[in-house]
Amino acid sequence: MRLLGSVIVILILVIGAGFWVNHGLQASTDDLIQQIDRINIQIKENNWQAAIEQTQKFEKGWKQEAKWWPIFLEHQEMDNIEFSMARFKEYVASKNNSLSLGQLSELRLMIEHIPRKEAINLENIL
Amino acid sequence: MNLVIIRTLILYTTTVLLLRIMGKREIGQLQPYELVVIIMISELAAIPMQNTGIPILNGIIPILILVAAEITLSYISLKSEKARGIICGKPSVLIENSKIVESELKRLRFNVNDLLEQLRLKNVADIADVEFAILETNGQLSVILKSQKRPVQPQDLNISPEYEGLPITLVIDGQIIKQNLTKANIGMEWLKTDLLKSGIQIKQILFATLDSHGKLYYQVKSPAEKK
Repeated sequence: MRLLGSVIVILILVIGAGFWVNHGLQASTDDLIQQIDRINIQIKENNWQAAIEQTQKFEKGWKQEAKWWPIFLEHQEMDNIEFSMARFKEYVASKNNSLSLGQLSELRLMIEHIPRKEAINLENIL
Repeated sequence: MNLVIIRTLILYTTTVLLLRIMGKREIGQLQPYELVVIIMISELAAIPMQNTGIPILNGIIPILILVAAEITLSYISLKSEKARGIICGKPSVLIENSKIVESELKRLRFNVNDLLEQLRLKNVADIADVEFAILETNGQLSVILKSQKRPVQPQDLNISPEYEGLPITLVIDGQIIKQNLTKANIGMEWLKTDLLKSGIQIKQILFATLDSHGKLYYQVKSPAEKK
């Protein structure tokens, strides 16, 4: 009975941790998406200096978030985001409007995809 | 490479610990749901071991959930006979009162050749010697022979043998098992004196037991092992 009780407690803790991780992922993603939207505006207005600064801020934010994401997410997803970010930085540095916006759009989708993939819904379960 | 080594050790330790928590059963005597858990755990542990791109928690958490599910099902089947019937199934009588129960064989898709094979594995060459044969829920066949065919027991010859308890292990590989000495109500000095009579020291002993009649049996390590 003691073993069953301990197992149930551990299960509750694990399920709780799962919800906490999902909540944390969503919060981090929202923060990063907001930064991406700001960069988007700067690029559309051709404020390249502001876009570069905002990109650097975004990269710093990403490194902060990327610290704990690999514990729960497949590393390939993280690597794909890093590759996309590397391309985006170069496009911004070369002040290429179309490529920057295209790459930014891809980056946004990749980041949005992460909490969506981890969400508890029928599509993900099946 | 080193990552793989570390992950392997972590997953191995976790799996051993969790299987230890699951309890003791021989592989051949596992219930179907327990066998499923063992197979799934081995697959779940192997994948993150070699693929460093997968978080290690993706292996540990499913294993933990499976062990929890197994423990829960075990407790439910322990407390409820009805649940036990659903989870583990019920044993099936294949031979009853020396007659093969055809309907049961058909229901289980168990043919006569399978039955004969299982009987032979139980050292029963002649099906006519069997009174009852029961297919247990773990897939093992239990055989009860006819009273005229079973091995003779002391009771049959009106013999009352002396009580024989379990022998108590006192020494393994040169190490004295102190709790067993206490259990047998003997002191270290008695053991050492008994062995010293033969000129043997404790560290030279491979294995020593004390039976229920107080007789000490021991085996000395081979000369190569002593070194």
